[in-house]
Amino acid sequence: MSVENEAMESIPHHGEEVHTHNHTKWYVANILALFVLTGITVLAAGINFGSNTVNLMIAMAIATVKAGLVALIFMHLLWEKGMNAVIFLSSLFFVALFMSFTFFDVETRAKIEPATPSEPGVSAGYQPAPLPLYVVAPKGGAASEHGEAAKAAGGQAAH
Amino acid sequence: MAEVLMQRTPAALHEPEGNFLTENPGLKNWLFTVDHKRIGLMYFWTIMTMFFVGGVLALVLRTELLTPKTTIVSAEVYNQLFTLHGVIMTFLVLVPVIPATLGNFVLPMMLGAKDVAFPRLNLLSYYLYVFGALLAVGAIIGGGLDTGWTFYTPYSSTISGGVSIMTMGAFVLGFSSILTGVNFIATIHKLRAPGLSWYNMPLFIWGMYATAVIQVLATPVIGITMVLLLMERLFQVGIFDASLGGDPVLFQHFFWFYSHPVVYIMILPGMACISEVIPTFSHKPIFGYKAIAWSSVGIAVVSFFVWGHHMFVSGQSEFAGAIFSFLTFVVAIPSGVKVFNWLATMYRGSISLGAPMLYAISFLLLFGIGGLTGLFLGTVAVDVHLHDTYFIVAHFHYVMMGGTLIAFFAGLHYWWPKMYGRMYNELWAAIGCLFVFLGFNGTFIPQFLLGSRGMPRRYYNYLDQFQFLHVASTIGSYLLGVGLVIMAVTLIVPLFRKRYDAPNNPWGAASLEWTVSSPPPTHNFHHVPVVTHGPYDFKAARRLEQMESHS
Amino acid sequence: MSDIAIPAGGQAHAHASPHSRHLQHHFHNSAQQFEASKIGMWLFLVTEILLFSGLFLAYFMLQTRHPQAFIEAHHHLDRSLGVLNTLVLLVSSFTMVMAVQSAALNRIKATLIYLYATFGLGGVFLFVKYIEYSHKFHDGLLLGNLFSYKGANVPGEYLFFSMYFVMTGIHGIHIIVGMGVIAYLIWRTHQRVFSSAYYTPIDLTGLYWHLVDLIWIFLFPLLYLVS
Repeated sequence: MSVENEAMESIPHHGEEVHTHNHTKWYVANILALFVLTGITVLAAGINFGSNTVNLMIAMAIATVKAGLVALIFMHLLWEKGMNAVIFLSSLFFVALFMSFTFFDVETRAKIEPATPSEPGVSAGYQPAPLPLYVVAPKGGAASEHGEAAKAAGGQAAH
Repeated sequence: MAEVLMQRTPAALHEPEGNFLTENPGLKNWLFTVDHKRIGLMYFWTIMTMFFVGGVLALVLRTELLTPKTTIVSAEVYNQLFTLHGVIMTFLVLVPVIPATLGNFVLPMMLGAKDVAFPRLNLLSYYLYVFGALLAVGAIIGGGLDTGWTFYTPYSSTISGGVSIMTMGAFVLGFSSILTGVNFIATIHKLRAPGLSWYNMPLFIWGMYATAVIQVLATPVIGITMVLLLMERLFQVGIFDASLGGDPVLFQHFFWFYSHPVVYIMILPGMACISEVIPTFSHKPIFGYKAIAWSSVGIAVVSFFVWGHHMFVSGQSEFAGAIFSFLTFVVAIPSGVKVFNWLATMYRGSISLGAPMLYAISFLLLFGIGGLTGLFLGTVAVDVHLHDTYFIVAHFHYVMMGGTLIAFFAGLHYWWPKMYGRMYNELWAAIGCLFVFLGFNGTFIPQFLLGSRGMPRRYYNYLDQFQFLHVASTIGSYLLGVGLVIMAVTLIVPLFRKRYDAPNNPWGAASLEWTVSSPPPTHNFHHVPVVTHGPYDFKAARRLEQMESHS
Repeated sequence: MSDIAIPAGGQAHAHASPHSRHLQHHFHNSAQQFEASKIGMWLFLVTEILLFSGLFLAYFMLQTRHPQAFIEAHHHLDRSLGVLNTLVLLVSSFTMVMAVQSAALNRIKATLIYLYATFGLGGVFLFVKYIEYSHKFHDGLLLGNLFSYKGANVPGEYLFFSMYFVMTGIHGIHIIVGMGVIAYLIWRTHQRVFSSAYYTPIDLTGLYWHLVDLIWIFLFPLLYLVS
């Protein structure tokens, strides 16, 4: 990888004949493959592979294959070696980083047990939300900007 | 590094009269220009206006803190003022200050290009910046906002006031930043002059490249964060609200996934300026070129791994805290590599203490303090004690102001003769630098002490025992203000005096922007320059200059 | 690390004279300009990917917290309409790439036909989306505090619809923007602006359109096929 000489090349040579290839066959094959994979996705969704996470993983894996086909063939990465592919792949790396590190936190957090009023040491100011955490969403949006609905729902949202 | 192969095109010779400042005059030609130099100057003056506003706010805040109780403003106003100061200084000054001004101005010239790859996007980026700035400042002045610049939920998603407009402002500003980043990466890849290989590029370019990578990768996340915050405010979608089944800590993950890398968007360009100034003023090729170049890229990548160190006390898991703490130490390595290489460059160099070098040396001292205190704070146990105290405030001011802005001043003094074609008074520049240095330390050393004694940040009232240090800090900030005024006057006065005309290459530097006239001609180069020597090969550069002046 | 990729699909450099009227003054030749534009477009796509990654992360987060609510809530979506829209977008990607290739081969008439087809398929996608949305509005299956559906079995179903509307909404905005750009391309193609010597805007729009398709490929199983 000669970085030294490369700059001389950084201005593409002018006047070189580049043949325009006809990729129609590739495109047709690709769209058919994508149809098939869409079918597989739908079928796979009907099967329980064990747990919620595994099902989700399998659905995402098939989607990734489809996305890969789109990127390689429709977006020409198959024929276009070099920087553009590096740029594209680097984005996936950072997306993976973003998600995995956030889940490092979320998945390893100490579970907050519901506080009982008699329990000592729980200050009145901070009340862990009683489980289940969710409340049915408040209705009507008029007061939404001020979060009054959230307050009414008994959350710790409003200060 | 490539050696002399062929004669460089004498770009600086046979110069016609006009330059980019004087050709095509008139307001309209400036406002619709696509020339990177003019856009850089427009950015410069706009950002300096914002910096002035943010600086005045800082002085008001410091004045308020002279006494433990009310001094000049009410508590509500105080909360809004520090938010305004934080938003202006981070989003409107620190993020764009070096890439959009110095970067826009010199990057294409350093590459031997006539412009950036997408000049119209460059102009669009400027107007997006102006629009975003108006939204952000308008939101705070019009609607009021006291969340601090971090907009943590659930407070930000439940209070009334200007948060919604502010989120839109941050979104627009992010777009502006992205356009600069995209432009720089494409320019560096595709518009290098013949002979300018990657390892022949000035280190400034490597720094800009690393910065642009972060701008492109991190900024979209703040965009979506702001969209989701807006959704939360409008419809209570529940993503960031625990009472609705969501997770407020998730907001902090989103926010810091952008906002930690963003501090490297601020500091990397600063380091880039320093890498130019130190070798030029030490009259010695840079030590460890490749180490500095790759440490920029290293910082850019590792900066994405450490955002959780802002969240040690947020309720984040201990496991994640430990990982983030470890990685925080890792990011110190490339920064250390840079600092030691700069010191090695100065070692046995023939140092001339021009104003840029004085600022560069200030940078080394101040950034050293800022960086090392960052390691304290990256340690979980210490951070639990110091979190949200003045120690943090002092730390990030040492990095942001002592690092980025001081480096910006170094770069500004370095390229000022190129930008306007005028030299400034060296003595007054040195006096300004001295005031800035002393004032800065006077402001923030007391804040380290305050923080380690437990003074929380963002407080309006404080205990009487803290008053002495607060007064000391305030006096320091006035001194700093005086220093900045001296600097501004020193730089602006020569613009109106023709006898201060600058030569093409006042510092004897070796990169391409110094081969053209000062100020540069409209299209930078009359012929495509061919690079025949390294960016710090001062001897070769001088030889070529002499050859050209004889021919 | 060579970034001198010869553009696939093939920009016919030979036809591009250095003084081509589409060549901006700061580029040396059309090939350099084309490659720079292409890098710029890929960088823009990176920002789009990271933008959507935030939405996906929020989805995963809520989904792992409230799995039952998400499973219950997704039954309100019409799976067959989801499949239909997936197929529509995939075909539109195909017509788009054919438009790019036709332009590269200087078959301008074919380019026009494929651009019209892509635009039309985008319209079909939006129409199907409109049917789905109006159904949800009617039932009160909406995001956040607008959720007014009475028959929810599991608390937290509105979180699914929060994600559903935010994700499909932002995706839909991208479709609308893409259709706007394609309409512009159709107009310019009628004016005979594009040829094998210069079709950069078509190529770049193609990349954008494929990315929007690519994001839908992930949205579809997450929203319509939760199990």
